[in-house]
Amino acid sequence: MNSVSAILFGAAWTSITGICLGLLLLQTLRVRLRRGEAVLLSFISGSAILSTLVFLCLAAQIARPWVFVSTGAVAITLSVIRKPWRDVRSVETLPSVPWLWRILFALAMLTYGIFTLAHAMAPEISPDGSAYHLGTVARYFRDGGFTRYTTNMYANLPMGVEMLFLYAFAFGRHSAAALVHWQFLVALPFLIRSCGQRLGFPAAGTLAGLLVFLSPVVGLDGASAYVDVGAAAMIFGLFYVLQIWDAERQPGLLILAGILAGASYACKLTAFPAIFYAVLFAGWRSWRTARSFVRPAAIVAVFAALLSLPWLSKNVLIVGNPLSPFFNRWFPNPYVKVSFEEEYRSFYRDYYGNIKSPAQLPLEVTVRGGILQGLLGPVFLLAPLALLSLKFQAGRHALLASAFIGSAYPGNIGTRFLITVLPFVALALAVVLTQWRVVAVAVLAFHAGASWPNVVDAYCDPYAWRFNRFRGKQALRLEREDDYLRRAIPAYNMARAIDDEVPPDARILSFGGVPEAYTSRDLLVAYQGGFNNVAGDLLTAGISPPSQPLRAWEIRFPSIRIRRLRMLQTARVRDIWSVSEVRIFSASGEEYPRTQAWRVRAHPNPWEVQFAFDNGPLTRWRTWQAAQPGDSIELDFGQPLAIEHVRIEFSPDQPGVAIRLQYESSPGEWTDAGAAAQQIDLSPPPNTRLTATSSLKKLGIQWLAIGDNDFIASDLVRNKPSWGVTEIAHEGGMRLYKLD
Amino acid sequence: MRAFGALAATVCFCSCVPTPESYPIPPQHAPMSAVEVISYHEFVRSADPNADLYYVKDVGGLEGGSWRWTQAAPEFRFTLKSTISRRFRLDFGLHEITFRDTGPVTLSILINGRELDRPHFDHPGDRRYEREVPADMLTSSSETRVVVRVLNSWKASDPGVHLGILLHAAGFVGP
Repeated sequence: MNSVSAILFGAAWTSITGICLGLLLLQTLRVRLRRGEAVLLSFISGSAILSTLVFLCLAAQIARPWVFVSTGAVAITLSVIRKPWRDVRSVETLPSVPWLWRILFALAMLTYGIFTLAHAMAPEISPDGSAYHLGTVARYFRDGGFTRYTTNMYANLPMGVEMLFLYAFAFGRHSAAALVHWQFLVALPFLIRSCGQRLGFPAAGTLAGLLVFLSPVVGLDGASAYVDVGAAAMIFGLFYVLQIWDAERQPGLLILAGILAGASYACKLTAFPAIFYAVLFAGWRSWRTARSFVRPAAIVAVFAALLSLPWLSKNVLIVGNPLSPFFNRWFPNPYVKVSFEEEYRSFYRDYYGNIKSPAQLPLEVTVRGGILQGLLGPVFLLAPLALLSLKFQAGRHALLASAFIGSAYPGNIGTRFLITVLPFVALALAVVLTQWRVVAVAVLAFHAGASWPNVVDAYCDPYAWRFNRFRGKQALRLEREDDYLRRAIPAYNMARAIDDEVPPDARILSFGGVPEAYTSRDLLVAYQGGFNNVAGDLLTAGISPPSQPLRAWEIRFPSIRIRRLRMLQTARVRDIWSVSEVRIFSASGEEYPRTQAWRVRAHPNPWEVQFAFDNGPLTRWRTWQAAQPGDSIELDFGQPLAIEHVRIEFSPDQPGVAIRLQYESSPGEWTDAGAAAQQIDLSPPPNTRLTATSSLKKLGIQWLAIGDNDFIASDLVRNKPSWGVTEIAHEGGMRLYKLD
Repeated sequence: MRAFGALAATVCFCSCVPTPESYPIPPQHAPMSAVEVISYHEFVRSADPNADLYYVKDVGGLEGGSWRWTQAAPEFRFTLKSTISRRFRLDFGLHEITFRDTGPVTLSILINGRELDRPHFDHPGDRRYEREVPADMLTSSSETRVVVRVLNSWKASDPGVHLGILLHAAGFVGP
């Protein structure tokens, strides 16, 4: 596997390229910064540019190691030639940090820095890092570019940080990517400290930087291949740049602010308020000084758009929805179902109903961390004191930024989603606390102690996401990476089995659990995409009677010659309307054979209407959203047929749905077919298990990776012949099956 | 700026998936002809080789060749052939040492989420619990889930570690 040197090179090459690009950008924009600021803001702004360059490489299908080496070489060469640091760095210095705070800063950064560095360099085992963050990176790297990747909704999120991961991944794979994020973790406290100096609060900036850096969830997130800390650094960099612009009105800083605002959104979807914040701040502060506010706001908006529109455009081209994986009602598409989106949003608003009241939040996010997957540290129970900073402009500006950035938090109340707000809250809090040095030092000492992993274990929820041990041995690869991964992530063993047993072009259906970053095969996780939802629904229907066609609407009427027929759903209910089969009968009672002259359509979800006409007992057309009046399936027979009887077969999992049958009596005029629909029971279809797997094969799926606790797991084990599967491997609590 | 506005508008207006006006009839599925053979599994002993298939959570590894420690709320899964005149049986032990701390033990037995019974045991040692289960609590068309909550489980000094009962066998018997 990967050597330590490759990991270090990958991460270092990324940051060096970023810093060079940043310096060149600042030079081009004629921005001048004080000593200490230049490198930090070059790193942040250069990362934004590098991320965009990697995006363009992927769009051009040239994302290869030699291209990345060349990009870095060009950036370094240009920097050597143009010497941007001479122009960017002014002779002015920032107000110095008192010696006590310098010592405390160095001690904390060194101690926790080494701990987090070891974690970052060790093999990546974080849940999201080893799943979609690096899974998508690995896939794009293998393909050398963007592909029509429509079966993973996470791939539709803006992935600005992942672009930097890809750059490092090309050389040092997973750990190099995590080390890139660690660099943002280290840069962030320096940024906050430097900003505090700029604003005239050097001690506060130092304390705030450490409050953030030492926070348990920030440390673990930043030392893993997540993106929250990267986004936080980008957003704080934006705030910092706006503060400098507010004081000095360098024109180039507005362009830089726009770039960072757009890059903030590109780093994390929930950072979109940063764009509004930047535009409104620029406009407001210009208006306050009796200058035109339109031009500054417009400059910020244009450059923010420049960096955010590529991600929206990619989504338009691949999944037909710029805001995917959300807003699927606004932009209907077959790739992310409305019902999934609504369920997903609902889950993360209260974490599966476990947060019953906002009053639970303070302790959950600061001390317990079990339900919301991480803790900030008990010191942040002092956060309300930050309001006392309103008497200072620095405090007002920090709290204003926190209000904007935090406005997206109710959409996902996980603790990680507070990381982007934390620097602002910490800065405002520190402005208050550092009014009394003893108090500030005591708070820092408490936070440093309370954040040490062994101490966190003593008070947090046993299931809180947190560091568990120092991983120096794994970081230096003194333990083989493969051995460590096999014991740290049991399902990694299944990932390896999949790569050994499954052909490269095969598709595997799973309900989750396989770390996608460690397999090169096309894994379809049932909840992650529209096609996957259909496949998962089909598989479970094999043993789930509520999903099987056990009922039918029968509508009989005196024989009429009909060319066009439609079924209208008339109720407004939470049920998802589905139709398994539609059968048309003549007056003699015989079913009309379906012919190629027939045309069918449906609303909503027109793309799957054929499932209601394929004679498949388990395939069904579904609305995939709550049934509404006007939902319909329509048939055009191509020529009039004498019809006396229509049967609509459906599953019993939609008790609230009501149907009306209509026929087109004259062009554009629809008439009710007369008789009320009667419900009848149908015999269960035979051999549903084999039908389910046969239907999956028709969809191009030949393999299953099923967790031992998945709904169908035990039935699959006991009834393999009935399912038509062969067990190939049993690893890490999962079984790999081939469909016979 | 106009160019960017136009670009943004284009992004929005082009955001639609190309969709045909209508679709033809697809290829038709042929009916299945194979005979389906299903195996039903209604009872598990701790020492059974496939015992793990019945355990959903809170059941530990095999010890002493015939028993397993449970935690506070062991959960089981069964596939029943019929739901009529069935009895739920639980063969288990209450360890003397844990009994000294917990005292008499109360279990809450839930079948598919509904409480069947709340038996109370005053002495340690091996026990057999058996009770008839109303047919409407059971299903033969999908999994039957049984949870045996030990309401006063034994708490270890390690946080989060609870010990429940010594499990020998569980499942459905009769008629």
